[in-house]
Amino acid sequence: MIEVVGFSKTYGDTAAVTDLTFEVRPGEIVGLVGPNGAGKTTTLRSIAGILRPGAGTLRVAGHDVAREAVEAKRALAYVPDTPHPFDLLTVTEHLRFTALAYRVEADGARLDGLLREMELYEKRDDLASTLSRGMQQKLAIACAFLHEPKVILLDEPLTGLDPRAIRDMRDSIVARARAGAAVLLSSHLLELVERLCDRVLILHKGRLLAFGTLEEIRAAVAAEGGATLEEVFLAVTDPARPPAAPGAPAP
Amino acid sequence: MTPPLVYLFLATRKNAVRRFLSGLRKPRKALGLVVTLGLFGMVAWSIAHAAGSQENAAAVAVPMLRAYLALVLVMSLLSGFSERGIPFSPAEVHFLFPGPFRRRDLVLYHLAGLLPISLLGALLPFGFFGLRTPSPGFTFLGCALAGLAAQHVRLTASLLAIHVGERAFRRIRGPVRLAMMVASLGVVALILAAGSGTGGMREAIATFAGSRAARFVLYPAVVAGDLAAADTWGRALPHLLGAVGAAVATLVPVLLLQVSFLEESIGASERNAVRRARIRRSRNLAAVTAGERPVRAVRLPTLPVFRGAGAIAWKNLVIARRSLRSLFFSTFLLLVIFIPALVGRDREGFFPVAMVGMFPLLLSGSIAFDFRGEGGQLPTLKALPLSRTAIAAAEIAVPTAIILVYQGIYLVALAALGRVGVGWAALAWLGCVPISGTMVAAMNLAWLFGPKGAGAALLQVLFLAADLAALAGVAWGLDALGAGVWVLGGALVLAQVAILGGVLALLGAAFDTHDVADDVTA
Repeated sequence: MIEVVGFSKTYGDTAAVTDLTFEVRPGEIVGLVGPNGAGKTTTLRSIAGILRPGAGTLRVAGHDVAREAVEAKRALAYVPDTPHPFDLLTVTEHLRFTALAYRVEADGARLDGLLREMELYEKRDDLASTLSRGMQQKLAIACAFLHEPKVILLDEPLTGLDPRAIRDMRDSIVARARAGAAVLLSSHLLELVERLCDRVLILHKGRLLAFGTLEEIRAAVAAEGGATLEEVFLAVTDPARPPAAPGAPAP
Repeated sequence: MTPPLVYLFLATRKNAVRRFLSGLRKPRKALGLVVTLGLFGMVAWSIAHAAGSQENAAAVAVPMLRAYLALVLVMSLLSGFSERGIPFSPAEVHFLFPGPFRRRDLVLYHLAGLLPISLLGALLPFGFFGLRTPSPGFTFLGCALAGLAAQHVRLTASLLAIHVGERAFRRIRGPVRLAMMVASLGVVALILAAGSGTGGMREAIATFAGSRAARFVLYPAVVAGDLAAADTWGRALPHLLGAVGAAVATLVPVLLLQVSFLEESIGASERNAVRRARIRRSRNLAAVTAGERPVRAVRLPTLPVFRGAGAIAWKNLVIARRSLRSLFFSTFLLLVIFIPALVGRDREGFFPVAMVGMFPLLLSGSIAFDFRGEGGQLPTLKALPLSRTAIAAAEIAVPTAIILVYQGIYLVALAALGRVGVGWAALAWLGCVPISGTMVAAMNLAWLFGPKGAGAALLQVLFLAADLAALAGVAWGLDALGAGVWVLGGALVLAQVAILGGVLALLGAAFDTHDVADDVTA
């Protein structure tokens, strides 16, 4: 569903991502982790068709993002790390606009269901500028889920949410994946990534360090059997550690 | 534009109007609107009144309007080329960039958002020149269409800057900017010449505007001038069609250029958002350009004057040094306004000297290196172990010093041109010290009291009126006692120093009692 082959991206003389290859299958949740500046947001933005890839191919639902941008974008949803709703649109108007943009029916029952799921129903007629940051994040995710995308890209989706909202959001993401969506999410909350994601991709300085299930990554970096993702992550991104060969092969 | 973008455009505008109207229920906002409209009405009335009493007003106004619009066109090209990318709002970046929209739809949506700006922008030249033309309605239309063409030109330049690639852009940016600046200065020189009414330059402007090259390159501005000169529909129609044609013709390259602009527009949008946030936080345009480019560290000077409260003045001095771009535009504005007073022969006597009093008002927005630039820093200032009056004095020091430099240069130029004696120029500059200090303090006082925009301007005018009334009282009393000119002058300077002391004490008290909650949360 998401295919990334030999993807590289530079800003001026700085390489943000180098020769990245991976895929996310339908129904799968892949966690994208890495230190600050690892290239996570660049990767997500490029898959979303916002940044031009320097080299390589990015495909979303079978569409080349560079050549068939509109078709690819119609199949995906991207939620950036910081929500930026339109100050002068109400919650419902955001959903109506999204429905129009993606050409999906947005009858009252469907909108109400989504609003209740995101606990935004009581705020449906409020301007987005009056919502708290957490509520704005929920609104962004509600808009992303509205057109039932085949591919969901989430950049730090749980930042700013309270513990209950994090749990609800986690359940929502899992539900979308179970319904067949390919989900790629970046997060610094490693414990959550470990519990939520089927596979994990560790990026460091724009290069893929490891990709696979936690067990496969453990095996690839020779970590102990019970090592958590956090322990594995800290081990592979340790500045003192000699550069490793690119990560474990994807199963 | 596609239906979802039309929906978005209409819904946001509808809600903006609703919010504006509901805001008018608050007495402060309603009063602010009345004051703003009143001020605009007064300005329009005075211009119309002056135009009515001026012979051959249209013959002066039309070439100046044409030159002004040409300048706008050239500056649009320059600013477009300086900014690689189209600035969208953060929400537009969030929802539209990853959305299923074609490049052309996003450009049209962006342009639709610029329409109201073009209309509002047309009010300025219309206000200054339109009321002196045969048919103000045609003039407004011409200004609006020329403004629209300028927006298209800016956008085309931005897209071209992306199209040439970053490395090529860096190589050619300098020479292109230089060429644009030279062209801008050329247009300004023509405006100045028209304003001073010397040397038959009006004819030169007419010749220049009438040349084929100018008519082609600056066609949107030239045809707007032609439209402004028309007095009947029959004469206006060809020019109106020409102006519409120019707006459409400048739109064509915007739509045809196959440039993928999303990546560069993220940067442009982020810079724009940061700029807006800074304005909202500090309400200071001057501090906005600072920090957008790499800067060198500045060492803390060891002079005793920069210790204690002086450190605040030093900090503001550093900010001023890093905001040279805003000072550059102020200098440009002052040149446009004051060179006619320097070179014109029709304004003799005290008038050119008295014009130094306008400097603080004209520089106000771009030299706000004082309380107006502090924004969220006010709580930190309040925590400093310094007296409130010392803080107030330190805050107004830098803008006052900058104004005094400008005033000094102007007075030296007047003396060098023989328009005023050296002794008078020196006395005038000494008088400028307390006057400029008082005016800067009054601006800060108005800012700390809270009103924005026209409300703040009205408050400043009231302070100025009170100041002048006090000085007039002193002058009247001394004149009644038979004091000579030098005694009178010296006494007025001393009186102004006393007023400055009083205003500084007031400013300190206002700073002390100012509620910082609004600045911190803004």
